[in-house]
Amino acid sequence: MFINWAAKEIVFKIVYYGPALSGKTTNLKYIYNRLDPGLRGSLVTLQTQEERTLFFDFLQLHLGEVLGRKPRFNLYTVPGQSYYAYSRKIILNGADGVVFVADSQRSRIEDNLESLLDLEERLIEQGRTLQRIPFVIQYNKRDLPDAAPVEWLQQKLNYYNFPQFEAVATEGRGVMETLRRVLHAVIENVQTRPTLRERVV
Amino acid sequence: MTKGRNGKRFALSEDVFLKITDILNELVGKTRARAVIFADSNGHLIAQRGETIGYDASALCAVAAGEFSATSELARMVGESDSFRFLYHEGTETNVYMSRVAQDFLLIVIFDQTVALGMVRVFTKRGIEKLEEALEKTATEPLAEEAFLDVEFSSLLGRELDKSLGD
Repeated sequence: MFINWAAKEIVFKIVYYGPALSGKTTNLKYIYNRLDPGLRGSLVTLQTQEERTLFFDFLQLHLGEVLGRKPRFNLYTVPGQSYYAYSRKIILNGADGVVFVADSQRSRIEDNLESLLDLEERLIEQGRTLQRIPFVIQYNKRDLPDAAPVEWLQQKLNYYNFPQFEAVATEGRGVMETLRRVLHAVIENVQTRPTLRERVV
Repeated sequence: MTKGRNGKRFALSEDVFLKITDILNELVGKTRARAVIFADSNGHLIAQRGETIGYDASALCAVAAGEFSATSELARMVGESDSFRFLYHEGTETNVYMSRVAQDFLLIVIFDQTVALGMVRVFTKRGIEKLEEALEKTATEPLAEEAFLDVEFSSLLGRELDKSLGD
């Protein structure tokens, strides 16, 4: 979170995490296409020629003014492929909330678990924990024939009982619900933490 | 995206912001750069001077911060104890000169072929010194962040989210 008093701006950082090809970029693309251009900036995608995320995708949401203050939400995706661990680490820095986009296909459960553990490790490196960060799980690709039952995915992945949504990001199903939930969680977290002051310049 | 800011909140006072914009104004005037942008190392745009059209400055800052982070790993690989201080990109029409300011900030200068790189380097170096001084002077200044994030604001923001991001 970043506050600029002179500009009356507050900027939050939300990171979409998850295994390769789980649909993180698809989430951001849907949000970009769905929203009025007045509510968002340009969508930046840093991809390889094979359209795989190389470094990150970025989209800023700006919701006008609230009490004369301008809230901004910077949405990032991380590259899912295992060899981009360093990119994930630096993109996760300063995150105010995380969406974990899981691939619902039964065959991808190990990839989901590996990515979730990777996320926990990255957070611990930063002196943070999964339980203490606003966090939402999205079970994506619910339309595929190999999609596992949500109850099974919950048992395997959602061991802290975080808010969860079913989604078909290619059709936009569940995308906005997931976004709204994580943003609400971020705002609630602002109100409930013991102190806001960690560093002042 | 560098040490010292992992997951931490951060606020910039009005006084420091005005000092920063003064320094950016001076820098854009002296270098005749197209634009000068100041951001934090997480990629949050703080202030910009000069041209503001033709690109999304917030997105530009996110990419610049990412690039600094990636090259800090490169620096480590070649034996640098810290990240690179400057990054320079030369195009056919437009050049970009990026510098790290203190540990947590970035200064981005965008200029065309009519401007000499040497001049940009000299004035940027002086600008960085002034920026670091401005940031240093107020390092202990108290700020009432709670005033920004009061319950009323959070409640109205929540409602605005539902309205703007509804299906």
